[in-house]
Amino acid sequence: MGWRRQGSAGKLRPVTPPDILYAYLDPISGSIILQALIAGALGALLTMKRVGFALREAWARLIKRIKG
Amino acid sequence: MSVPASRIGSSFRDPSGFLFTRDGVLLRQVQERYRRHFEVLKASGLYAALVADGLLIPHEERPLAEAAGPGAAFVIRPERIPFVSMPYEWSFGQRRAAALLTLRVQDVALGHGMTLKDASAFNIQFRGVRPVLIDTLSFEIAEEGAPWIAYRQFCQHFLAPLALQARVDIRLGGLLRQHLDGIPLDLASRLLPRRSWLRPAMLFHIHLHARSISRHAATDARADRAAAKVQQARVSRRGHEGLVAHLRSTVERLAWRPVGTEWGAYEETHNYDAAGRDAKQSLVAEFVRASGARRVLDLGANAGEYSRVARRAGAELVVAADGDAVAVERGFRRLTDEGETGIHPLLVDLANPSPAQGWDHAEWPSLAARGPFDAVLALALVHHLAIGNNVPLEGVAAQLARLGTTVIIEWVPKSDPQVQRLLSAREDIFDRYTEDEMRAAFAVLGLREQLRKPVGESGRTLHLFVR
Repeated sequence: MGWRRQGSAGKLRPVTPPDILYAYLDPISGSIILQALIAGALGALLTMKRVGFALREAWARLIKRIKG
Repeated sequence: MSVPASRIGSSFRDPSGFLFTRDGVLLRQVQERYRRHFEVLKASGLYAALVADGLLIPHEERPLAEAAGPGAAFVIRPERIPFVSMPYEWSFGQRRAAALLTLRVQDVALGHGMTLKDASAFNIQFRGVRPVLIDTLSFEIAEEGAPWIAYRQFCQHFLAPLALQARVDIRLGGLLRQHLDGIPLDLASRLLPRRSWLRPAMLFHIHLHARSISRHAATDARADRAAAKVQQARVSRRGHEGLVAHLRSTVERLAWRPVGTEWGAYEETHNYDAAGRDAKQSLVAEFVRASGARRVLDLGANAGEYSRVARRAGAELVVAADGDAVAVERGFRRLTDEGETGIHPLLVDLANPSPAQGWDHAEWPSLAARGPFDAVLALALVHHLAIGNNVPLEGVAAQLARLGTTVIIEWVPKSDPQVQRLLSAREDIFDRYTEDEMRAAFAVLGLREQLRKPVGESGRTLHLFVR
């Protein structure tokens, strides 16, 4: 709040600045909050990927050894 | 008496240090406030690892006496990049290569306990076709649990333009000339097609990112809540790695097939047969050698066929400039495959070349300010400017003479089929489009014709103008 503009009857009326203005003034907060949300999931995915890869490698080595 | 230092126009935002030149030597002053980070950069082995892999520009330390101002902790002399290009002058592939380099650097930095504090595309330059990080002060010590502060900047400078170019229209890369801090994510979100909401990478990094910025910005009413949420936001080391890996796979998947523009297939469709092309190549090589040029600007280079000729004729650096995104991209891919490091592809419209940009018109220099080159190559170009764009020959000569100390021109006469094609649907108002008028236009500027030879049987002629 705190901004005012001319009303239709010539009176000054308080208005709320649009979100886009706040986004311009503070583009960081939303970016960091989103990052914290998705980084956790992406980190878990990466771990699963690495574990999966390691398991596949170990399985392939085992099969190779069995086959001689 | 010491030589005065001249601060580089773009080096003022980061209080960690600044670039300056003294007596033509490029130096960087590292400020006391950055000392701890700079020492960790060296002691952690990160600097050595990045330089060894060609990811970071190397430097040598200089005596503190060479500092340009108060507060210096170190003075370094970075290796100089032969030609500085702007992100809005890159082809799709160059931008993609720069994005992947940034992510790789961040990955290596995390492994050494540091992180990139910014991810500006202006921090990347090209040595030929190989990108390299040039801002040695971009690193800071990684704090446990702290988010990647440069995430939004990476999305704006790299991901959004690449996504728009790949998924909407290649020409949207031109938005970067207007938006120097990258394409705002709300704008990218609006421009991307609706189906991009179904792609997780676009959904998270562009669409939800844009909405989160708007939703969580600290307003009067929710300033405390936003601050509390930011303070609570923690990102683990694995989370960091996951984020970087996901951004990397997203960038790698953004592909674009360079076809479908006016000049994209020019090399296959131009006027010369194989014998004519060989004759022209030998002639261009002869003229480049005669000019003695080490730095050449090849204007209207298409995919760089004659840039290669100039390079073989002794040029150390050739900037292969063209306004066609497909042609420049093809050149970039071919040069990358060949491992050529002396040719720098550049996407620039000669009828509207890059102006001085940024704060006080002094942050990012115009194309002309990055010259002059030893030689400008303008092969089969003048008729496009003079007839295609109605630029008087005096104007064409003035621009070419500003860009290079010598000028090599392939003159295409009015009788040539290419000129006839340009004139086919319009009135011929170009009475002064003659070889003599061109010669006179250069003479007024103090350039005389040193060499003139016919290009085979084509009716075209090659000219070397020198000062």
